[in-house]
Amino acid sequence: MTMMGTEPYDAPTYVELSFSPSAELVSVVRRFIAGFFDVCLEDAVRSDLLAMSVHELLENASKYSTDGISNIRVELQRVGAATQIGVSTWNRAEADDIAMLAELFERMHASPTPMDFYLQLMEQSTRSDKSQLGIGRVCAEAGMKMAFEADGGLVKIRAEATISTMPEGANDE
Amino acid sequence: MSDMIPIDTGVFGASANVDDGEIRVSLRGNADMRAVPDLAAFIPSVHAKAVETCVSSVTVDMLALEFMNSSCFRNFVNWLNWIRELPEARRYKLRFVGSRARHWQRPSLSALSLFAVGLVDIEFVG
Repeated sequence: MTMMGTEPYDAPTYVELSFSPSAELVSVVRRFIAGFFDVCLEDAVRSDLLAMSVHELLENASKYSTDGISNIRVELQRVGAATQIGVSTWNRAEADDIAMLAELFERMHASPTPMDFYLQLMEQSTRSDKSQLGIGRVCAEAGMKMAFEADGGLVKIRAEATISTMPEGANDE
Repeated sequence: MSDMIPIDTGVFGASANVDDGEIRVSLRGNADMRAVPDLAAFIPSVHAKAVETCVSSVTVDMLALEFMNSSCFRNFVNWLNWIRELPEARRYKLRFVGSRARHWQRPSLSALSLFAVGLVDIEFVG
């Protein structure tokens, strides 16, 4: 794979953005980062799924941001024959929201499969005012592995995938 | 009678037509957080019309839908849940028509078909 007609990228290739107000700009950032993936991955299916993941993670960050600022870093790095992709978002959040996210991630990691977790969230969403489907969508639809950490009032969510772990059936008939 | 008032925000649109006993919903544009309130009002009206007119299916055309976030997607989860809760004889199917070129649609619609087994048909064109 080459990037922009140059040599393969063995060093990390990344984009990092901070923006505010968040909610209005999420779709703008999604389209920008979709272009980044298009250029770097040359794979329309994976670029679309990654752009969806970026959107969900950013909306999550903007929804819980206490200061209106959302941050994102998207990085790609070749590891052997594969390309490792990382999407990190971070924002300041209220303690109650951090606790809710921690509980959500505990449930995710306790679920037998990402799709089981996602279907649980769908069932739950029919009985609740809160959606909470975004995190489930990223792990089940885009096949990304997710991690959560909180340090004081700062929340960081990271989603990772390698090309070989993306869902094989995404482009099947 | 249920009024299926169309949505046109400039960046997102939704409309529904009843034609020859069938309901066809068309979605277009970018369904992000700003579309959630409108869609949350629109979909119940389509469901009410479907129940009122006893259709066997509602077609949801997503060919011109650039993107849908999870909060908008949730409205379809709720819609399918309402259909599941109908007496069996009154249930109808959602028939999604997606775009082959919009690759995010395939796993999203597949997930909906797992949520409401037997109530979702999916076709990709384009």
